Amino acid sequence: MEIRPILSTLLRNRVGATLIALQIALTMAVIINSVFIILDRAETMRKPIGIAPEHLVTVSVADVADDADLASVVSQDKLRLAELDGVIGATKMSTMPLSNSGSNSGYRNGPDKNDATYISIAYYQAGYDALDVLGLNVTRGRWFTDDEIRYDPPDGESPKVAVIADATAIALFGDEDPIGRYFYTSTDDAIEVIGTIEMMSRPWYNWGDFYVTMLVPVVQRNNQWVVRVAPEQRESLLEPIAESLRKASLDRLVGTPRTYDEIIARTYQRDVAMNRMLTVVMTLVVAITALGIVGLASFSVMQRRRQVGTRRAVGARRFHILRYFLVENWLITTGGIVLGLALSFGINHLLVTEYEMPKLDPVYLPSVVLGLWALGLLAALGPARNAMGVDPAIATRNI
Amino acid sequence: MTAYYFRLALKSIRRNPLLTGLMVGAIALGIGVSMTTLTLYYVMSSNPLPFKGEQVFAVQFDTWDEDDPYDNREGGSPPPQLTYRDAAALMTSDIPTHQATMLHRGFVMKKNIEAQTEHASARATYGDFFPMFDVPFQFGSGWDRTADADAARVVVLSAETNNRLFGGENSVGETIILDGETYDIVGVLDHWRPSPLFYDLNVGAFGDTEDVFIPFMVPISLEYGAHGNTNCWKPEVIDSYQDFLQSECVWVQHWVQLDNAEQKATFQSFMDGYALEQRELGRFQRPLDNRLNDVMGWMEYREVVSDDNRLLLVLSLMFLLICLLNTVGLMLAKFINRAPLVGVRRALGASRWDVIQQHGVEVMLIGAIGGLAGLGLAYLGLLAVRSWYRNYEYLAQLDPVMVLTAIAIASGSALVAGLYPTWRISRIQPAVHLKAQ
Repeated sequence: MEIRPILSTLLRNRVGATLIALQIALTMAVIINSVFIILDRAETMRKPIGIAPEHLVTVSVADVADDADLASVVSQDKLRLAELDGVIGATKMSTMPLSNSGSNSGYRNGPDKNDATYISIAYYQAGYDALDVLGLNVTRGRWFTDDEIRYDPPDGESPKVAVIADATAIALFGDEDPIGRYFYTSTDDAIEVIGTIEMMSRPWYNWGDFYVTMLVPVVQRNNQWVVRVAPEQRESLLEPIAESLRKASLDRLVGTPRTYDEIIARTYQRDVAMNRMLTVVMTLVVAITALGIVGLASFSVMQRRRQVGTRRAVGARRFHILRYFLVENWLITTGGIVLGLALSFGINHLLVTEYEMPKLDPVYLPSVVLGLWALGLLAALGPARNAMGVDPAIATRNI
Repeated sequence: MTAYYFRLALKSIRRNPLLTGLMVGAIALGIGVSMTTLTLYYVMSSNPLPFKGEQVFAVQFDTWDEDDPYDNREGGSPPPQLTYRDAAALMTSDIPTHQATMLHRGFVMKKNIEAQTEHASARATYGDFFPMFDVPFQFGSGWDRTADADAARVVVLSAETNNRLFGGENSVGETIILDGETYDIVGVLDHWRPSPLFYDLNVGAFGDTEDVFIPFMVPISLEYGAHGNTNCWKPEVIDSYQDFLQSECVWVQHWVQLDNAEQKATFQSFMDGYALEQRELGRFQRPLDNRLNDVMGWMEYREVVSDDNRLLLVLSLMFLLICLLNTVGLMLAKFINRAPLVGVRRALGASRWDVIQQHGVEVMLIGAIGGLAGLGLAYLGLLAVRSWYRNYEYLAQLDPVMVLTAIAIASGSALVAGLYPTWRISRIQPAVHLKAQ
């Protein structure tokens, strides 16, 4: 192949080639860093939370006059909700996984302060029905009994029993059987583990130990209602659910009911928006660069029509002309890619040091490089085909 | 002469609409994308208290755990909020021109007994809040120190709340019901929406200001907690609200107005003195680190402009650069293609300067069209951003400053993109191109 003549031509006409190479390099840096961020966020958003969100609707309730007996208020509310067609069950919950608001506390795995490990556990106050409503899977031990549920316990009272997630069991007791074991609050109250569930995540996704959580048998007056419904009815049941809870009392404030999917979507909204913006920028970058290559390649073909004609006249086949321009373009693209590699890692290094982003994983590199090669060749194909069609007779004219 | 060049430019644009379209499109996209992210960045990092931001300070005390700092930045930073007891101690000082402890929480609001209940977000704070932050009033005013001390049931409504409940009429002297208690309305704010919402960044930096404002001691007397963040580190027995008020839990915000460096230094030494006094009592075991951050310093410390936004800004500026390189290439192609023509003009007596002017006009024309289209794209981009984020309605707006910036960037870009091609075309040897004809 005619690499040497192509190179020497390129060196003579540096500006156009340099412009394309620079564009390719910058495009590469933008794409690699964007793809990296997009995949990183997407992976975060795919983390399971241990609950199928499409069955659930949540709504907050606040009773201003709090003299009525809470247990009976709760059971009346539950009856009202159960009357609605499509409602399968309902439970009071202090908060939900990925709702971005919740409580966390530090606990010890032994009674002795100086000889114990401290574990931070996110806790959920759950009603008796939480097991079925949330669709939790008890792996060991048992769920709460109805009598164990404490309604509006006094301030400072610690729960006596808890159902902990499997990840919490491992954090507290390693591989040992956690059932019947105790762990301790900062004020030395002992909590007995009566059961474990497979998985339930924390309310926040950017917190370490995503699955170290537990449920405690507590119902507070202003805890929200979580309602299990038939998935296809979850939108249409929002208003009826709020309406039936409103009927309880004039002094009751019922919040906006939301599907649990929406709660989770709100938590991830920044990441979703960021990914969308990055995708838009990336698509535009690819489009602009491709168009730029088409434009410059057409121009360079047009400028060299006479030379192309001459080559054809002295015996070059159409294929040779096509090959010439494609190889030329490939060389420029490759030059851009080499420069782009340096730029991408330079930018990533900056991100790592300045923004505490993870280090670039070279796993994406081959596909991006292949993609850019393909992009360059495809963009140059049209102009190169034009060159292929140059009439050899042109060489004899105009000289 | 310029009019003539302008006609020539139009002609040239018409002769080659595809290439021109590509150039305009590249500039427009570059401007559109970078202006969208730049506007976001600009609004997020703008000063919500432009005339006073340097005299108003957020207070931090390092009351945290001796062995484990609240925040690991800078080798251990103090918590962003205060304990109740430390805030109360600060309130006894008469050094600041104004100062106010504050917290945020929700109340159930009714216009009167029969009315429908609704949710009201409330800021419980001191009367100094209003003069300290230059809060504008439509009717009435804030409350005085007596009301602060007595936990008086008085309330200031936001303009929006007053519009909803009283149709925008002067409601001073009327009452509303919050959590079952009657409050006298003493003032109604004018529209006030600092963005970012600097004074309490716990509940999101771009949320709404509160619906109602009440004296700080009211929720304390009702034994209420705050909505937002309550952080505790110390294992201590909290059996009653009094225990909670005396605990090491941080949950209230505190701001002070200090008009000059001297006043600031005096207050800083008051704070440090208090901390040393408390250390004698077994608190403040960490190295002395009590901070006063002015408004912009505070927003930087709390990282209001997220890393995401910085990243987007960097990427979109790279995108603009790509678009410019693109335009340079296309423009160069277009101009060189026209070299024979320019050769004739040069041979007929046009100077280099004439050639530069002619092409300069064309470059500026393309830049102007691209810039305008870019502004349109930025507008669409901001619409998209607003639909993707809640609470960004106020944020993503093109204001005159940003429009001017866009125009400046567009003309600057066109100039940069056109510089080399124009120079190049002015340097051609007329003879070479004449021979080829």
